[in-house]
Amino acid sequence: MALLRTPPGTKDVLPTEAAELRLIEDAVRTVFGEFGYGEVWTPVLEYEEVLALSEEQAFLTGFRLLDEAGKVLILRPDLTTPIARVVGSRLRGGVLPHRVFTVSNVFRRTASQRGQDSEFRQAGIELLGSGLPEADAEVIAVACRCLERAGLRGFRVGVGQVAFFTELVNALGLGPELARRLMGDLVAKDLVGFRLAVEQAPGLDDDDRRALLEVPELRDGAAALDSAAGYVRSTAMQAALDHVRAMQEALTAYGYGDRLLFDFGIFRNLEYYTGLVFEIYAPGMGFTLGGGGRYDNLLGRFGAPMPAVGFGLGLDRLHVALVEQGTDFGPAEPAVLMVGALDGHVTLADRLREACVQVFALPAGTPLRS
Amino acid sequence: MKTLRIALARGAIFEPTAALLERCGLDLTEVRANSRKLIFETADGTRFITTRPTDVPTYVEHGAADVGFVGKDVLLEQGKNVYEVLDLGSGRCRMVFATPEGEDRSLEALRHLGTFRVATKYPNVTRAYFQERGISPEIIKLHGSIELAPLVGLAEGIVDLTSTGTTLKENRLEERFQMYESTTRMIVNRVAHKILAVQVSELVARLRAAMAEAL
Repeated sequence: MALLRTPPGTKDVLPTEAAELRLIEDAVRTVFGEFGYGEVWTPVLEYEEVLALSEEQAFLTGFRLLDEAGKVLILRPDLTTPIARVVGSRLRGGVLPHRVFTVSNVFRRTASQRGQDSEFRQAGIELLGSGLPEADAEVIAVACRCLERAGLRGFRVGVGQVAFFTELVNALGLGPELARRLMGDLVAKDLVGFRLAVEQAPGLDDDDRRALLEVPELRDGAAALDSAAGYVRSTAMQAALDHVRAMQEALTAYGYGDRLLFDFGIFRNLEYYTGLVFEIYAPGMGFTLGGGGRYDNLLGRFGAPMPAVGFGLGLDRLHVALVEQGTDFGPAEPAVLMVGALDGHVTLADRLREACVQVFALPAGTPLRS
Repeated sequence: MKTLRIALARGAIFEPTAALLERCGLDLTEVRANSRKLIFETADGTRFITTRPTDVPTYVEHGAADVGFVGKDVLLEQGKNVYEVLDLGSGRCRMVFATPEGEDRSLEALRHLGTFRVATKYPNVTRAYFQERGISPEIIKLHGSIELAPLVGLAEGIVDLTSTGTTLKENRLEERFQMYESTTRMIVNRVAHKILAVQVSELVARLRAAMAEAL
């Protein structure tokens, strides 16, 4: 007999786990609805050449197959890029902003580990066509509301601003090659390589080098914003910083102001982010539950240039975090085991079901201890 | 304030790392005294765990430790999703390609067969290094005594770490070129880096100061 296994990084979900995941997903969907987001479904398979428009290196590790014409298909590696394709095609020309959400399985080749599988279920929203900091605040508020509604306690949201660093690089007039190397090191979290690159970069004075090294290290809570002001060298940097402050103010109105940790060293692991970015941390968890940010250049690559902001939440990861903090998901077993409900007292069992009692039917004569 | 959980590797990099941490004011008396025990807690609540070098990135990536100290060679090989925040400059060793003394047989194999066999504990680094140069060697993963492989015809060459070159010489192997230089690095879990930012920054600052003092 063949080994009855599933491919690495995938798994079967059995009733207890599925029921808990469903509760989480329902909570998240409800919140998305409350904010007026409409659900969009996209195919599991996409043309590689279409997703390649995103110029996202991280997708190179996706699962691929060939169609009958020899075209390369890729299993959906994230939620945002397919939405960008939809906006560039079928949502083109509508009234802005668009608010859409998706809840889908996404696929990436990763070393299998806890909360990080090859196939995982994500829930995400995209707010398309608004560049306002208040739009970022809404997206973060939706994320916080989802976590709260799912029952997660003590979570924090780390907020960074990619543009503050990229505009510093612009203000210093660094070449595109060096700029790419620096961003690459920061995205890869290689701060040793980053420091070396800054120290070796030609044509910079000590002040320039200090600014490059210190900006990604600005991460002392709310005070990081005040410290950042000291590094502003251009109106674009000022605008990037003002954007964060305006978002913070807007988020306070939702009641989530004190969840924020400001950190100019957050660059996320995708390269399409252009502005404000954020990550969600849960107490005691070594990985992020999700995150998102502003990607103002992505839609242009799909023929519909407009600012956009969104986030994705790992539902499996959120589930791990909830289990870890001892969340009560309610009874996993049916409320009533009814002997004879399968082959005699069907009507009675059905009446109970109509009264919203879960009935697990057993044939007559089933001994109770079994 | 929450204290840090620090993963230390027993092995060659332990002594210089421990000495540096002590110069930062951390108490490693018990960690030094008892090499069997795996978890230690100091008076200020800092917890140390000791493990194999190759396991340090795993503990840190999963958040079972907030901070770890490990060689760059291990990080290159494993490519874990952790912050690499500081080069301690200690534990220096070189990752080299070596073949038996005399004529380099790997070149001969490459000319005739378009490939050669290389034995190593570092298959990922080795594959990436040669592939970037347009060569796809056959990689033979071993767990120890790599020097043996070319002597018994298992491979034409090896990729391994060397600090003094003594082991290579004893086995009549010759270093052909250096691939990477490795030193001990401080790594940080990606969530701990944000949530315990104050504690992490303070440890980095103390380490930097202690390193500067030693210069």
